[in-house]
Amino acid sequence: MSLLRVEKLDLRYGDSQVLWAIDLAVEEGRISALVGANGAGKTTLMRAIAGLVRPSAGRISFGGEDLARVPAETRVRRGIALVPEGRRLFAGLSVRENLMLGAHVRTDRSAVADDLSKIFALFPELEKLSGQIAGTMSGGQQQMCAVGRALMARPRLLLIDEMSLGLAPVVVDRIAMALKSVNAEDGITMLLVEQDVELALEIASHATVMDTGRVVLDGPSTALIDDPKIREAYMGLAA
Amino acid sequence: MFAQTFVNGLLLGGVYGVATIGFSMVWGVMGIINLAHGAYIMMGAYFSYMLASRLGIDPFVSMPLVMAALFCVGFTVQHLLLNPVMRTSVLLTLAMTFGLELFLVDLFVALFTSDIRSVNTSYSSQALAVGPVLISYVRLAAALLSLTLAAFLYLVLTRTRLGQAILATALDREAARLMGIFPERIYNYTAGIGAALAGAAGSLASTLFPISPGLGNSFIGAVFVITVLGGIGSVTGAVAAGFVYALIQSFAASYLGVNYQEIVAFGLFLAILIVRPQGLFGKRFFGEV
Ligand SMILES: Nc1ncnc2c1ncn2[C@@H]1O[C@H](COP(=O)(O)OP(=O)(O)OP(=O)(O)O)[C@@H](O)[C@H]1O
Ligand SMILES: [Mg+2]
Repeated sequence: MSLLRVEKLDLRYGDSQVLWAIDLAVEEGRISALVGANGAGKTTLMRAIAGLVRPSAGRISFGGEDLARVPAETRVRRGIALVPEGRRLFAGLSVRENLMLGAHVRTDRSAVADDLSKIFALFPELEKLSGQIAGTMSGGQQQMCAVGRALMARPRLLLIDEMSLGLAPVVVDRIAMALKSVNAEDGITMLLVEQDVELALEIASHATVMDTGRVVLDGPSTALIDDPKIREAYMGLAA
Repeated sequence: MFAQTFVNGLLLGGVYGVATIGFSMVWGVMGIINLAHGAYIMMGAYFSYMLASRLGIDPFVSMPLVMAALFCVGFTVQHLLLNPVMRTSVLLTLAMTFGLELFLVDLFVALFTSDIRSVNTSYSSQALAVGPVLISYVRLAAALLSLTLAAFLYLVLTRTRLGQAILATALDREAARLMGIFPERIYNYTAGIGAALAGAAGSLASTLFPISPGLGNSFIGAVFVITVLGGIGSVTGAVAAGFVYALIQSFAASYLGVNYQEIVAFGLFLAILIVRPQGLFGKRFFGEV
């Protein structure tokens, strides 16, 4: 069964419509990717799933339940965590404070402490920098902190908007590895927005391609990677 | 005279700090300039006065009660009046709190008349003599209590779940929502805490100054100056700037005359704003990295 299902979703900002009849399904336990050119509407779709913007038509359901009347704050409690575009760490607070805010909705204190050690094991520099003011860290460290913060909610579905943007390849590899291991070990389902299509198809088992507010392609990564349209349009390779 | 002036300023500084922290925090967290903050201070003073004159409870003892009452006032005003207005425009809150200030002051004129009242305690006029310097017990207690309250609030913000949620909401409201924090609930608590601190300041003021419905007005100017000097939203900044302001005022009053105390304090305020618009300590809230 799909953990997340988006059906015929329209979304408009004022007079301009930016999402048109989006259909998307994310299967439980999988890593899926959402790719597409700048302005395609990927961020808007992620924000709609997290509950930060309201669709004008269509339906989003999570674990079989309609989310229409569920505010963003409650969606975290249901198990949807978003690493937003631009990371949006609490810049003036320490790394540890940021991570603990990720667990704000949880009351299981000892499990939270365990999860904090897990994050520190996943990204050891976060433990070393735990007292550091988050806004003063490098981009890669901030991204690790943002991913860690979202994981601290112990989500069922982790949404990441722009995992690799502006980061050094080594850092990207490490975060990708970490996500894969979290997915494999804890069974956390993921939906990643990624502008590096090659990377996206490598990490994810399934991908959806968007263009100017519409879904134009959708399928298993293995099929998409050989698709001549994809190779030409997004990977800069000859078909 | 120098030493006495210095001590007077120092003792008053703490009260100014407490009068400011709530105002500064509300401004820093929600972007609301609460013009009714002075009225909250005035209400705190009247509550203390009532409890002292009717029930004989010392203002220092009744302070937690006064703070709890003002917490409820601040919380309710935020919930019923300000949150709905903020959904359309934060700027409109300025008009709203201005109206609230006028309403509350007039209400207290109607209830208590404009007559000046005061709380007299057995120790009101007693003082500790240190060499040539007299330290009034009331002022000393007020100063120490002020510092305690400031330290307590600082701990609440940095060590508790609510405090962290307040800081997170202040720094990035939308990211806070993603953490499951309901911003409007946080605003209610922030406004409640801000009003409770105003109540505490009023409580302390009732032991130091004559009480009238205009009491808040004599504070709000200082509160404004200290907020900006200390950095908007900064607890430690407000306390430090409270001392700076009180010292300046105290020296201006004793060397130039009482008429000059405010002129000098505000003049310096304008000068500092031009030279250091980010405040004396250069740190606005927790957001500055
Ligand atoms: N708050 C907003 N108000 C109006 N239009 C918006 C708003 N946010 C985004 N848009 C528009 O919606 C469209 C989709 O933007 P969105 O940010 O979702 O795209 P994206 O696929 O995430 O792009 P990128 O790869 O650049 O991050 C764009 O045309 C954008 O200009
Ligand atoms: Mg985007």
